[in-house]
Amino acid sequence: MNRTLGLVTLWIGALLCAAPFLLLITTSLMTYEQAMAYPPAFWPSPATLDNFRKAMGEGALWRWFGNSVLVAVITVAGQILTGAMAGYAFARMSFRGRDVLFFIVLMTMMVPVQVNLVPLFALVARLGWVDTYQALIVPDLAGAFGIFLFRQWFLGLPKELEDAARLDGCSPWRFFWSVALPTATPAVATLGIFQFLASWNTFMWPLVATHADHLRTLPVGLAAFRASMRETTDWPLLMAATTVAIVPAIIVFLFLQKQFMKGLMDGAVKG
Amino acid sequence: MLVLTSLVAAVLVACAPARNAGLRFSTWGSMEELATLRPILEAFTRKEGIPVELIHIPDEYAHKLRLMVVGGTVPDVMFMSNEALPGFARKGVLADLAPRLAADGRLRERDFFPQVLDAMRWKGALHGLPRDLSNLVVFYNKDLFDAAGVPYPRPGWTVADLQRIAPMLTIPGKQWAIGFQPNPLIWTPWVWSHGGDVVDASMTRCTLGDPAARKGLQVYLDLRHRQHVAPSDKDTGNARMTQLFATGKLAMFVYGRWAVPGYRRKIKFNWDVTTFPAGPAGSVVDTDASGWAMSARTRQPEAAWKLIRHLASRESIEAFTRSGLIVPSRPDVAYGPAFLSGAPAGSRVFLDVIAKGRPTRVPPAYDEITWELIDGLGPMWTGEESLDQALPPVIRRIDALLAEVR
Amino acid sequence: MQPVRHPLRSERIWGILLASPALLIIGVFSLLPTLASFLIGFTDWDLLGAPKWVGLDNYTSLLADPVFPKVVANTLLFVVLYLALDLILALALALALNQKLRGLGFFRTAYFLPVVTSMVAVSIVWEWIFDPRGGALNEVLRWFGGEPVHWLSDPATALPALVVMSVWKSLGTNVVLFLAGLQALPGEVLESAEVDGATGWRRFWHVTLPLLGPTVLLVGILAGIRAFQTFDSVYIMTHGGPRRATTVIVYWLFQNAFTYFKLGKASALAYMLFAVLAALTWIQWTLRKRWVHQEQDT
Repeated sequence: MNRTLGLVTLWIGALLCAAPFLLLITTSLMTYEQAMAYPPAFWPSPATLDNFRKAMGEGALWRWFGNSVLVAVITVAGQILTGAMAGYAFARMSFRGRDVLFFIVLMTMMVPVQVNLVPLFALVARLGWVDTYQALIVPDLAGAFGIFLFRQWFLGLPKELEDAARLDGCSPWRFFWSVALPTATPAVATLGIFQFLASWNTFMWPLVATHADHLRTLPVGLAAFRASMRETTDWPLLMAATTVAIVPAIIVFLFLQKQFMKGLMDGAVKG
Repeated sequence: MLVLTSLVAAVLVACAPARNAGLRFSTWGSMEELATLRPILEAFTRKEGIPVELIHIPDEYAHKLRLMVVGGTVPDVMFMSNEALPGFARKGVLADLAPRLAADGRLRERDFFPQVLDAMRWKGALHGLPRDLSNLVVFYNKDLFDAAGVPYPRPGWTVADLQRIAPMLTIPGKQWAIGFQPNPLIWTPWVWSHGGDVVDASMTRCTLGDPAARKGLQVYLDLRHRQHVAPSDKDTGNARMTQLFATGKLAMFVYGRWAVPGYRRKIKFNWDVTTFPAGPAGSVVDTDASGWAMSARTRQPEAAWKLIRHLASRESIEAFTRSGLIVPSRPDVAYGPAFLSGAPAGSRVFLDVIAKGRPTRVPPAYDEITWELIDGLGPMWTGEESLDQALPPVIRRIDALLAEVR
Repeated sequence: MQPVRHPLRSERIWGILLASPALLIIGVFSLLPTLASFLIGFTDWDLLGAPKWVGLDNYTSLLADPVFPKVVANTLLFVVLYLALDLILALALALALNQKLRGLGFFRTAYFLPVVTSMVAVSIVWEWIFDPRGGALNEVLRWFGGEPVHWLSDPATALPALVVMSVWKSLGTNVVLFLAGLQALPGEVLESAEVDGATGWRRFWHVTLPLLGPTVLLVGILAGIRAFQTFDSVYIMTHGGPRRATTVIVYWLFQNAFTYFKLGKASALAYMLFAVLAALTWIQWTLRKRWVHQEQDT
C-alpha cells in the first residue's frame, strides 16, 4: 500500500473512532438549552460542569460505580486464583479423569452465555440470591478462559525446576504458590485485564439478576437512567453520566494494553 | 487466600441488603414523579416510624417485578397498573385488600370512583387501591378553530361532526385537523366507539375482523389516507406527534392527562379538551388505572396496609394531582381545585367520561398480543397494505396466542 | 501434554484439590445450567409454576411461529452486513498499519478505545448520534443538503444503523488480529513477489490475500460468533422495533424468557443458537489446528 494513502487511511480511521467520544465529551459540557437548540451547537460555549455535578450529585451513580468496582475486583481476584490453581493442576499434575475434565472445561467455553441465562436465573432464585452481590460475583469466580491461559503458561515451566523442588521435599502446594505462580505474572495480567473489562461492561446477567436500585452495576444503572428519561431526554446530563461510566475501563486499558493485545491473540490464534 | 476470602465475606455481609428494616416499596416513574413521591414517603416514616426502601424500576417494570417474585424478593407494596395486575393476581402474588378496606375506620370504598376501583379487581378480589385513572380525550387548539371560523368541538360531538369540520381545519403540508398515532392505546377507542373490540368478552377470540371493529379501523385510516386530514409519516418529519400539537400544527389531538404538565409549560396558544367523538356505539374510551398493591407474602401486612392507606389518602393524592400529571382516583380530589384549576379549563371532561369508560381487556398473553398489533398492523397505518391485507394474518396470530393459554 | 511418569499419591490428591474450586464453580454455574437449558427446552414453564413436559412442542411451534423466519432473517442480515463491513475496514486499516510507520502504537490504541467501552455506554452515545433532530449524523447530512433520516425508527434503516455502530465498536479487535496475521507472513514470499514485479493492488490480491486466507477466515468466524450474540444495543436503542426490524435471535430469546415468560420456548431457541455457534466454533478449531500445523511445517 502506498505510504501516503496508508497514513490518510489511518488518520481517517482514528478520527472516526474518536468522533463519538468527542461528541460525548462536548455534549456533556453543554447546557440543556445549548444541546437542544436547532440547529445544534457542536462546541459548548460557555462550557459547564453542571451536568457532572448533577450526575454525581445523584447518589445512585456513585453507588453503581462502587458496585461495579466491587464486583470487578472480586471476580478478577477469584478468576486469577481459581484459574491458576486449576491451570497448574491440569498442566503439571496427574490425577484420574484429568483429560476428560479439561475437555469438559474447554467445551463450556463455547457455550454462548444466552444458553445458560434462564436456568442460571432459576438456580440463583432458588438459592435466594436475587438482588444480592453473590448473584453477580459467585458464578464468575472461575472461568474456562482463565484455566486455559494458565495451563498454557505452566506447560512451559521447565521440568527440572519441579524435580529439584520435589527432591527438596517441597510440598506441591508450596511449589505452586511460591515457585510456579510468581513466574506467571504475564498470565495474571492478561487474565486480570480481560476479566476486569468483561465484568465492568457486562450487561445481560446483572440486568436479570438485580432489580433494586442500590445493587445495580454501572451498565444496568446507566440503562435505567436512560430509560427514566424516555419522554424528554436530557442528553447533556446523560452524556456526563456515561462519561463517568467509561473512564475507568479506558484508564485500566491504557495501563495494561500490551497484556490485553497479547491475550486477545492467545485467545484467537493459538490454542 | 484466607485473608482474601474473609475480606470478601466481610464485604458481602456488610453490603447485603437489610431485609427486615422497614417496608420495601417498588414504583416506576420519571425523576419528576419521584420528586413528588419522596416527601410523601418521608412523611409516612415520620408519622408511623416505619422506614421505606424505595425500589425505583423505570423500565420493563412488570417484567422485573415478576423476576423478583420468582426470586422471593417481591416488595411488600408495589405500584401496579390494571394491565399488569391480572398476571400477578393469577399467580396468587397479591393480597386481597377488600377486607382491610371494609374494616378501615377512615378510608372507605366510596372515597374512590367505582369504575376505577373495579379496574383494580380481579375475580372478585380487590388487589390494589388506585392512585389515578387514565383515559383519552381530545385536546384542541382554540386559535386554529377561531382562524378557520369553526365552532369548538363540544362534549357529545360525533365522528360525523369530525369528518365534516376536519377539511376546514387542514392546510395541506402545513396544518392538519387531527393527529395520527398507530398505537393500539390510541386507536382502540375508534373500534370501541363503533361497537367493536380487539378480543371478545371471554378472551378466546380476536374480534378485529368483525364488521363493527373493521368499520372503526377504516374510519381512523380514512382520516389519514382518504380525507388527508391527519399527517402521514412524511408530513410528521422528525417531530413527535405530541410536539406537532404543542407547536400548533394540529387542530386536534387524542391523548391523555399525562401530557398536561408539559403542555402547561410549553404551549403558547389557547387550548382545551373535549370528549372523544361519538360513533354509533357512543363515545367510548378506556378507564385504566394504576394503584398500590400488597404482596400476599409480606411479613408485615399491617405496616404495608398503613403505607397503602397513607399513599391513597386525600393529602397524598392531592400532591400527585397538583403536578397535573394524573386524573385522581378520588372524587373529593378530582372535583376540587387540585385537579380542576389551571389549564385546561375543561378538565371536567376527564371525569365526565369515566361513567361510560371501560378497562382494557387483558388476556394472559397481553404483552405478546400488543406486539402483534403494533407489528402486524404497522404497514396498514402507513398505507403499504390495505385493511384486508393486514388484518387476517394478525387475527390468526392473536387467535393462536389466545388458544395457547387454554 | 507429557504425563508425569511416576505420579505420587499425594500429587493425585493435590491435583484434584487444586482443580476443585474452579471445577465446582464451572460445574454448578455453567455446566449444570447448560444441561438444564436443554431439558427446559422440552417443557412448558413460566418460572412460577412447575415445568410441564411437552416433548418437542417448543421446537415445532417455533418453526411454525411467523415471527421466527423474520428473526432468522434479521439475524443473518445483521451478521452478513456486519462481516462485510467489518472485515473490509479492518483489513484496510491493518494493511495501512503494517508499513512500519511511526506512531503505530497511537493508532492501535485509538482503534481500541471503542472495544473496551461498554456496549451500553456506546449505545447511548450512538442513540444521540442517530437522533433525528439535532443528532450528529443528520447534521452532517444536512451540510450536504440531505433530508433528515429517522435512523432508528424507520424499519429500513434501523438494522443497518445498529450494524454500523457494532462495526465501530469492534473494529479494533480485528485490526489487531489482522496485523498479527500480516506480520507473521513469510517475508521471502513477499520479497520474491516484489522481484517478480508484482506491486500494489496486484501483489495484495495475488500474494498477500491468499497467504492471509486462514487469518481472514478465523477472524471472520470469531466476528460472526460475536455478531450472532448481539443483544445490548438492541435492548437499549430499539427494543427490537420498529416493527420487529431489529429483533435478532438473542433479543427474541430474551423477550420470550423475561417478557413473555415462555421459558421452554426460550430454551429451545437458545439451543438452536447453540447448534449454529457450536458448528462455527468447530470449524474454527479445526482450521486453527490445521493452520498451526502448517505453520510449524514451514
